[in-house]
Amino acid sequence: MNKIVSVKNLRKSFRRNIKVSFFKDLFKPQVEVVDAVKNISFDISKGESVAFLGPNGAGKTTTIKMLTGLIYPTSGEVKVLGFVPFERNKEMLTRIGLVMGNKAGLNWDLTANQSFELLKYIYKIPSNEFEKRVDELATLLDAKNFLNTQIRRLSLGERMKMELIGSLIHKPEVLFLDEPTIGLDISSKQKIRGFLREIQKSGVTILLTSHDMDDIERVCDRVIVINNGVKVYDNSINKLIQKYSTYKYIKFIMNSENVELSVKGELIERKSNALTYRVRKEDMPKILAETVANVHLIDIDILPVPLEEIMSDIFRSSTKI
Amino acid sequence: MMQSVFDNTKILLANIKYTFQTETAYRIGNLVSVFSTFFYTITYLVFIDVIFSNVDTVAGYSLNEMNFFFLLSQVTAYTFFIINDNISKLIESVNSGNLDLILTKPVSSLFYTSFSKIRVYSMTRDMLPPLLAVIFIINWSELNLSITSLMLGILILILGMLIAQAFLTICALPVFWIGESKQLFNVAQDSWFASGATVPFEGIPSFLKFTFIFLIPGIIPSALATSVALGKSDALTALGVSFFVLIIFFVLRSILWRIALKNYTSASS
Repeated sequence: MNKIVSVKNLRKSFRRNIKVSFFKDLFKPQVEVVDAVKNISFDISKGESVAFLGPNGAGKTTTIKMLTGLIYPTSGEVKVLGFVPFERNKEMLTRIGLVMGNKAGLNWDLTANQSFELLKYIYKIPSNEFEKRVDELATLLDAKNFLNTQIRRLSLGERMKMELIGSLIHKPEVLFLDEPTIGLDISSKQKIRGFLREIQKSGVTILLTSHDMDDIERVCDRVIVINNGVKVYDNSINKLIQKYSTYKYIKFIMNSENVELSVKGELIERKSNALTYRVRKEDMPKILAETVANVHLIDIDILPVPLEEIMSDIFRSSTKI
Repeated sequence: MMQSVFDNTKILLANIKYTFQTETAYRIGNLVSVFSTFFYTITYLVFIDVIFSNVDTVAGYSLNEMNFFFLLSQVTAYTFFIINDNISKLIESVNSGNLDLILTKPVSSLFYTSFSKIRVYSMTRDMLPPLLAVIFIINWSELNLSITSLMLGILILILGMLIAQAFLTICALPVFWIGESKQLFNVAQDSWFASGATVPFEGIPSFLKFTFIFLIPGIIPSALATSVALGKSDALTALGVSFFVLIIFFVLRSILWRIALKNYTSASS
């Protein structure tokens, strides 16, 4: 497969002032060097959809910023579409797109269509192709009605849809997304996730950071977990769930309320006639057999441990290391 | 090279168009600023008139020449607001990390940040009424103006504004290192503005002339341009000096911009 992104021993350090006292800070400031990213290596192939995961300050956004050429790495090699990102080659910039959930790329005082027109000049898109593209993307996002509304009058979800159109108008080969669904309601999130999947199917490589595990599960096939600047996991989501999921959730639904069960596991939730336990995978058959034999049950649900919990375990264990 | 100039011109025109649309996006425009600029102009004209009621000339300038100098310094001032707007916006963008979305576009980031907002509508709205008053007051036939000297004066004014843009951008760049440069930028723009707006070129002492041409290049677009237009300074020397200063500041800005981008930390908001 075609390598779209190639990263070797990437490192980024920041200098940070340490506050001592007013006069010392003024005349002899003390500085410490903090490693935000420590020797990370990975490759991404054409058409992949990859999530960067990690707790706040883990180094995932710093990695994305180095990949888009926004910040210079301290050491290591990065190539995106064969270009060194921080050289900001115009051809590379024409072939990538960036969406940041907490930053506005479109002018708030203009309508989306007016803002897109400026992008038409920047990316040198022919007029007929431009109109077709806007129409196509707006249809996919169900956002045609907002194209002529001033950006500041749009809701957060509608605005994010416009930002997505703006970032894809020039048909980028790689799309970088930093928290694209932050603060959005569930229906907007679902629309955007579906849209990103469609875009990926058309051959766009997606690199995404998000704290929302549903974004990751719905949009990405591969996960790179970063903690304390170090890569701690790099494989498919399914393998991640298989590897780290040593527990299962079992939900027992009974025909009467206030029934107590003797189950070897942690009680996660109690809801009138339903009890949910977190149990070890190997204990599950025995627990099921015993409970079915002793209690009158209406239903049983066996659920995988949520990705969120798996991630939290990975972050904890990698922090200990 | 020509293609790049052509592309940048297209973006520049688009920026003018969309800034105009932004300015006119709100139906109820604020016209108060027209009264403010008009009132300032009238006050200043009265002030000049009071001074010249006691003396015949100031630094060799008659009342009529002084009004002409005032006209050019006002044109400089209104053009300056465009520069000021964009540089202030640059400082904010670096602070907030919004520069990210410009740096990932296939345009010259320096060019784009310098001319992303060109307020033609509000500039014309605020500038035209007071300047028409000044144009009306000047006795044009009495001025020692020729088409050549006037054109050279205007050329020096344009060069002076380009130098100002480069100088003030340089003064804003510390934001890339320390996260703030508004104070330094304010000091620089106030010094630049004050140096060229009130005293004619001939009235400035030699050591200050050096400072205000080569270090804080504030007297080029107004005082020097007026002096050349009125035939009081040697036009070729003035043009040569202006070109030299322009090249120095452009090269400096370009080098420092590249270094600044290497230090951009892209704040997460």
